[in-house]
Amino acid sequence: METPSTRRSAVAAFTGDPHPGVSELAHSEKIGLKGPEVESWIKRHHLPWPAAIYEVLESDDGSLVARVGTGEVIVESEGPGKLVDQIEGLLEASAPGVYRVEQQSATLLLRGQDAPAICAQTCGVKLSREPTGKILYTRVAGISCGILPQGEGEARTYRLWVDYSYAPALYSTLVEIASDVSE
Amino acid sequence: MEGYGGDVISSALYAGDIRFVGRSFKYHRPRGSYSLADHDANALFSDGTRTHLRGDAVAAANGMDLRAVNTRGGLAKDALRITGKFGRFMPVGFYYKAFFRPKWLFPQAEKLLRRVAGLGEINRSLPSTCSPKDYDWCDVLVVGSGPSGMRAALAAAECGADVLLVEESARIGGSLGWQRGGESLLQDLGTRVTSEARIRIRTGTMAGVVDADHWIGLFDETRLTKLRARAVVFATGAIEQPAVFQNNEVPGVMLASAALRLVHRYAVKPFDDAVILTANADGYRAALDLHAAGTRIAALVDLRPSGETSPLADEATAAGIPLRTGCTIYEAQCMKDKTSLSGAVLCPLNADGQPMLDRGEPVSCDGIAVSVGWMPNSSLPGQAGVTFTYNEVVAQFVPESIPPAVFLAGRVTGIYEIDDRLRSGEAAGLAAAQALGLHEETLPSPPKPTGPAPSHPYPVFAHPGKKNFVDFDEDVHLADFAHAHQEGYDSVELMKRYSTVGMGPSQGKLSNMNATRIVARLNGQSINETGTTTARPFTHPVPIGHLAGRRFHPMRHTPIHDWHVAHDGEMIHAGSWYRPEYYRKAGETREQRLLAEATAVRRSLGLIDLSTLGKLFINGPDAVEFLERIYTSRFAKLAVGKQRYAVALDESGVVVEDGVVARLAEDVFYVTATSSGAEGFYRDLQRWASIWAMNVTLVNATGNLAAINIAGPRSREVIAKLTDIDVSAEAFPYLGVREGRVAGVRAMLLRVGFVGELGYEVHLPASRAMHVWNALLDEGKCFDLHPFGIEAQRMLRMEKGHLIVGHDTDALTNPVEADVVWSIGKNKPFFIGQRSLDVIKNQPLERKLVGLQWPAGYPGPLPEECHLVIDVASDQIVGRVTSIARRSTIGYPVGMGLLHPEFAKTGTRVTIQVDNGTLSRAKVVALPHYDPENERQT
Repeated sequence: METPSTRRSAVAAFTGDPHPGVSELAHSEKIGLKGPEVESWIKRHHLPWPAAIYEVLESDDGSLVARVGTGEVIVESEGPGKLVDQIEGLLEASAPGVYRVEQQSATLLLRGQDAPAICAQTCGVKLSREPTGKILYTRVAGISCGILPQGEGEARTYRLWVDYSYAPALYSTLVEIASDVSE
Repeated sequence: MEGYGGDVISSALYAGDIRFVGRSFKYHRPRGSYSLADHDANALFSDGTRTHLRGDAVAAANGMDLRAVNTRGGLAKDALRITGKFGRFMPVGFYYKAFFRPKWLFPQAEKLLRRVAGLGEINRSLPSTCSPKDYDWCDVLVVGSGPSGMRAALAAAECGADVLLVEESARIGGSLGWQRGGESLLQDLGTRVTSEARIRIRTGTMAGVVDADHWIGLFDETRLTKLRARAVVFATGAIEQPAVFQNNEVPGVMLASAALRLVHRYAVKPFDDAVILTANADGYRAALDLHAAGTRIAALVDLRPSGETSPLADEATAAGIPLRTGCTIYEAQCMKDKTSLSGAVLCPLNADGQPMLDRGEPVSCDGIAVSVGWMPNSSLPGQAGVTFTYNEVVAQFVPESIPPAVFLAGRVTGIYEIDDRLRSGEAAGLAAAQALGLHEETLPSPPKPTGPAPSHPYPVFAHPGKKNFVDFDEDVHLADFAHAHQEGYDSVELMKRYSTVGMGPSQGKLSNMNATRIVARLNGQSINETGTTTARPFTHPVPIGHLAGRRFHPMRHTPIHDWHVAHDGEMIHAGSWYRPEYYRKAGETREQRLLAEATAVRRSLGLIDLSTLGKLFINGPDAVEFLERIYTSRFAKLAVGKQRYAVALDESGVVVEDGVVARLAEDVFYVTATSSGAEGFYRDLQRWASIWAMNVTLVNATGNLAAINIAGPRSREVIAKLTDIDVSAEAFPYLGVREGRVAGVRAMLLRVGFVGELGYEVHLPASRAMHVWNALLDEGKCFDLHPFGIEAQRMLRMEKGHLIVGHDTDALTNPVEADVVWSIGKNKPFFIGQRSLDVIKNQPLERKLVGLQWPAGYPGPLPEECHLVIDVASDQIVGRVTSIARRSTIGYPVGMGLLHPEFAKTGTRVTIQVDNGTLSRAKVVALPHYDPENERQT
């Protein structure tokens, strides 16, 4: 059986948190579901189902469910025993038209007083205007990301879902810019 | 010398009585501050670190150590000032017409001219710095913070717009900061603008470029901002224009607005004794201000016969200022070294507007202030698509047609009275707000340009001395226009490019208007008939470093990247990925390492990170049909748990992808693709799925999954210890696929043989790859398991005759040439490229992929990939080398090549031309070079 120690962060090479405004959500796990029967399967199991494409819901255990296509969702949970594990368990039974999608994207968090300036240097979308409760796909520092804005005002945080292979480049670039900005 | 906080370099120098600050481009004539507004390029400096510092724009700072650019041996003793004496040998365009005979002379002359020409020098020893670039957004951008701009910003903000007001000077206010009577209005508007929450202000910021959809590039001292505005108001004002007379560029001659900037902004008295040349009310205001500042006005010279009709004329007379109407400055008189003025010669004008030389009046002075007209600062509006037409009433260009969501205000529209400028700004701001749906009431009508004209229609006076300059940057004088016109350069576009008028650093701000007037007169045309040149970015020169900025070239890391680096992997760029070429070892060369890594795989065991491989899922009821349309193979009868090599073509029958298709379930297929082609291939699959409207679910798992290949005769023994899958030969034959766990991690195992040995690929979640990699290394220690890099892999696969698409094939290679026809399924109704392939099969074969071999210890040169195979007899190219291993595990050099069929027969001796023209001789052999019976991998 797999143990938590088998998992390695995409940005493990960057020890500590070089800048408080840029960090990785280290203990998140994700799973994806895709297929023509995903919606009915999810509803049948009474799981959260965002009504619109790009809408993001928060489940009772704090997991995020992002609908990223007509029949596609990405689910993120922090820690074991939550929605991701529940879905893994449900998928052990046959589910025609529902295909499990391996989701290994890293989750980076951008927050704090320097976040607007960092976003301004890396993203051509005015993120401060983007609503919470939705995921936006665009490029940050030249890298494709899903961005989930959360909170307002001083509590505003941007959750970036980035391909595992691009996470080191994105993380190091954001830290470099954050350091420049806060000088 | 001393300066004050708030000084720019030019004002600090002027206050320190340094009037001579630079030398001109061509003749190296002395130059002084002319506009104090960064509209001229007379004051350009280097500080040893940066060059082309603009004296009118850059703040003076403690410790500055400045040198004028374009000098050799200092400003005073500039060695190239001698070129001024040879002016008559350097007429307009002389470099197009000289130095051609003898023929050898031109390259030498060109080298000399290039060395002599140019302004500042770059300090190459300085490390390059990275200037940031950022994005910004606003509802309304207002460019220019003069009275019109501030009024426009307030009007738009009061309607609820989010306004960005940019000003290229250090302070807001525009002309209110240096024209008399502006103080209280500046105070009032400035306070309102700075306290309005919806207005953001950026000073020291130049709007340099306007692109489509109101994308505007803003430049300040440190960075480029890429702004997206929903509407734009250009309140860019007007640029005061010079008059053309003999010695009109000697230090001490300047625009009246420059003199007023010195007085009002920098508290500097510009002259002791001044002559003012004017053709408008501004010149009278300037005379009165200078008089109040303590300058003795030796003469106020008005080009207009009737003079000034406003009360300003009486004010000037009451102040004791001598007035000359219908008069001009014919010549500025200077000291012998031309670094300062001694006086001016005034001449009355006849009925034709020509100076009456027999009535010249010399006047002593140390300064001449010129106020003969204005040109709208139209570069930015021009870039935004605004067209202009010449208005004879105000003798300037005014807007004619304006695109949507673009608005103009103030002097750029030909309006000069302060009340009109304020009304113009308000109208523009409200119109911008209305365009955004923020204002519904009827818009006020903007004021129209009315006389009297603030600009003289032709402030140009010929002189036999030919030092009456139209363009100060490029040393283009009045006679140059006549000469160029005589040679046939009679349009503004040709005149510009032949004479270089307007092509210097100030980009024609002080020369284009007069140049247009001169060309019009030479052609006997109106200004509108003559036209103007096209406004292009940038409105001021910008540092190239700002344009480069911070660059984003993200590279992808495999999940095992850090391990490779820590273990001396020689990391290289492989497309968008970092991959280890090989692993360094002390005392061994690269070639030794490649052979050692490859040999280890053949003899025992090797481990390679394949995480860059394209990894796709094709799922759904129509998956089989879909795959059979995409690939040349058949998949309907592919059993669950089996995989098949697959080739994909484009519609012209060219090989574009290859990989394996593995069946995990009835409706679940796992497909591999090339590292460099996977993203594009996936996009094609999505497109075809959409076009065919098939019931398939496509997933690109390339970044989410890692892949590790353990290969070599001992590989089964190692993998067996780590997996719950039965990996015996019977239970898991070659080209099988299984799902299970490896080192406790959920994974797929694929039995493939890319390198020609018994081997397994482990495909698993990316975040678990390091754990499994380490587990394999640990378990393989007893078999001396080592990693191998991509170069060893290339060698191994090439020995096995396995092609790499894009390496052994090119953009035209079809499956017949690539010798993969065997992969084409029989009796398929359709696959992409099938029709083209039917045609290709009936045509003569033009080339074929074959093996190449050299004897062990071959003494001659070995080729590189892409070297050409030639037919020595006919001296024709008959093929090329696509892959080569100079040292191989087989013991002799081997390769692959695409050859003409006549030379592709096994046993043929071929000749390959290498770089230095020498020849390499090889033998054509059948592929594979290694293990032709496939005993090793199965």
